[in-house]
Parts: sequence; structure tokens; C-alpha cells
Amino acid sequence: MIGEEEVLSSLREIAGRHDPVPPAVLAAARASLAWRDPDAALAELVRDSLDRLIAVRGGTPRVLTFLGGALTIDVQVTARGGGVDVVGELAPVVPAKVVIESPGGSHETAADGEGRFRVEGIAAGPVRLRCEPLVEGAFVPLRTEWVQL
Amino acid sequence: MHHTRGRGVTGCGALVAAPRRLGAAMLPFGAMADPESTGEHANAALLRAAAAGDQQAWESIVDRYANLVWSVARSFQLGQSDAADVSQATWLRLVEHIADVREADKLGSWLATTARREAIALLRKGGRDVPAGSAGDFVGHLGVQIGLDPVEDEPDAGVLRDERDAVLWQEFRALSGQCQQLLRVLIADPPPSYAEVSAALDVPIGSIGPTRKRCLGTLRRRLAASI
Repeated sequence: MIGEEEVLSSLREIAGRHDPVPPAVLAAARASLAWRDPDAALAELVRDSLDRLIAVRGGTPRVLTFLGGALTIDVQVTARGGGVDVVGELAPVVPAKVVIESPGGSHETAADGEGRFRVEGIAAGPVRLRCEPLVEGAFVPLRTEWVQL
Repeated sequence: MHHTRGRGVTGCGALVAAPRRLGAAMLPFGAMADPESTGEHANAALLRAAAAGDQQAWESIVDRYANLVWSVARSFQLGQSDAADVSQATWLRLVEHIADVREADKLGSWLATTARREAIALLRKGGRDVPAGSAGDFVGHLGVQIGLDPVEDEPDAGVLRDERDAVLWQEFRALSGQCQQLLRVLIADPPPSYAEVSAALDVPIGSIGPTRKRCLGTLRRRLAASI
């Protein structure tokens, strides 16, 4: 009977030949350092409606809440076609530039007088939000944790 | 394992310092950064350099652990596209916390844990119920659903190098979901430590040896019987 180490080595060899890390995946991983953003504080995900114990079927929007310092960012995500639409709200209300960043591209917008913003047609995948004050010094620039939309 | 996300999908609590301070509690090192070494000192130096924007240091880290992250993703029976998403999410998570990594010698385990969490998050997003309990239970459950059908984008037994490889891979795919998940992580390159396997599968380190023995025993007996 073949030995344990030998069968493991053989499996490893097969996986190495036929299921290696795809070149595009390796390239994307290597390119990820470009997302380093030491000038912005991290706003953590403190609530995600996806974490319900019982999955809700149907078109209910997903709701996410991020907290960075004194700023709360509520985001409602609705799937549409192959992408998502995002409606967000900053609290407290503060003039801010909001950038929705993803490896596929960025969408820039601004929070209105009620702290609300909206971006449509974002590609599904990893996304984060970057918030900068329009009035310098009003708050520390924030970047949210990456989330999978 | 109960899946909590009160703080979002982050790495092991012990690894990410809080409150965050740039370069907080980085391990001291005396050795020059050596991309070939996988020791604690090398990792600490590479992480510190990457945190400062050193692209080469970052690529050394990626090159060392990309296969482990890929293997963890694939061990969840994810196809190429989903595994690519999990991989990307995992590396973005490391960049997100690159300045906070405290225990450089546990980087492999941190990445394995993060890949596991991102895989589960992806499955949840796709509407699949992820039951409470260990990841192994979940994949075992998947294994029952999928049966013996090949996962999309996996080695087609027909194009494997020779008959022996084809039989070996077929018998591997006929194992329980739990065994397939364990072995798929164990055959990562370079071979993972048991700490990294434990992190990937969320099982006690002490259980890995016995489960490995049991799974390989089943596989080896079936191979012997198939001759």
C-alpha cells in the first residue's frame, strides 16, 4: 500500500500542475499594495444585515453600517443587473466627498445637505468607501473596511 | 464555529493591535530581510517594509502565501471565479491591516483564517446557508449535496498526466467533504504548518494529525483496492 507522505506528495504535485494559483489572481494580489491608504483612518463594519441567522430571500436591500471616529456611514445596497446601487448617509451631517473604490474602478460623489449620497451601477465585488471632509480638518479622512458587494 | 461579524471580517484578534498605531509593537529584528526565508524575522521585516509601501517586500509575501490562500479557497469547493474573489478579498484585507500586524510569525495563520472567513462570507452572499459548526461540517454538508460530480474548473481526470494520477484524483474526489477539505489545504505549496491548517479549517491543531491519518488511510486503501 502506498505511504501517507507519498500519496500526499502526489496529490500536491497534481494540484501544482492542474490547480495552481492563476496568473491573473497572483497579479491582482501583487497589485493590492496600491490600496494601502495610511492617511485615512479605518472605519470598521459594525453591522451587516447579511449576518442574520435566518436568510431573507427576495430583493431585500442589504444594509451596512461603518463607524470611523465620530462618523457613522450607513449604506443600503440593492442588486440591479450584474451590479449594485448604493444609497448612503453620513451621521452627523457634514460636507464630505465620498468615493466608492473597487479594483474595477472608482465612483466619486458628495454627501448632500442631509448627509446622503447615491451611486448606481457599481460592479459586484470588493468595495470600500472613502470619505474626505470638504472643509479641511472637519474630520479625519476615513476609509471603510473592504466589503464584498 | 459560530460566525460573528461584529467587527467585520478581520483577522485573528491577537494579530491585529487595537487601538491602532502605525508600526505598533512590530517585532525587533536583526537579520536582513531575506525573501527566501520564511522565519519570523523575515516576515516581520517584509511586513514592515510593505507597510511603508515597499512593493518588492509585498510581492515576497504574496509569492510565499498565495498558494495557501488559493488552496483554502478551493478547499471550500469554490470554482475558479469564486476562489479568485476570495483570494483578492484576503489580500485586500491584509493591506487594510498591514500597519497593524503584530505577530509576523503567525502571518500564514492570519491569511488562512481570513481566507476562510471570506469564503464563508462569499457563500453567505450567494444565499447559501452556512450552518453553525466547524467549516469542516459545512464542507461535509456540501459534499453530500454535490456528490461525486467534479467541481467546475478542476482537473479533468481525462487530461491528467497518466492513469495513476487520474485514479488518484478520482479517489480523492470520492472522499468525504471533510477529508477533501483537509487534504486540499494540506497539499498547498509550500506545505502548511498545522497551525495554518487549524486556522484554515477552524479545527483544533490536535485533531489534524488523526484526521489526516484517517483520510489518507481511506484513500490509500481504496487506491490499493483499485489496482
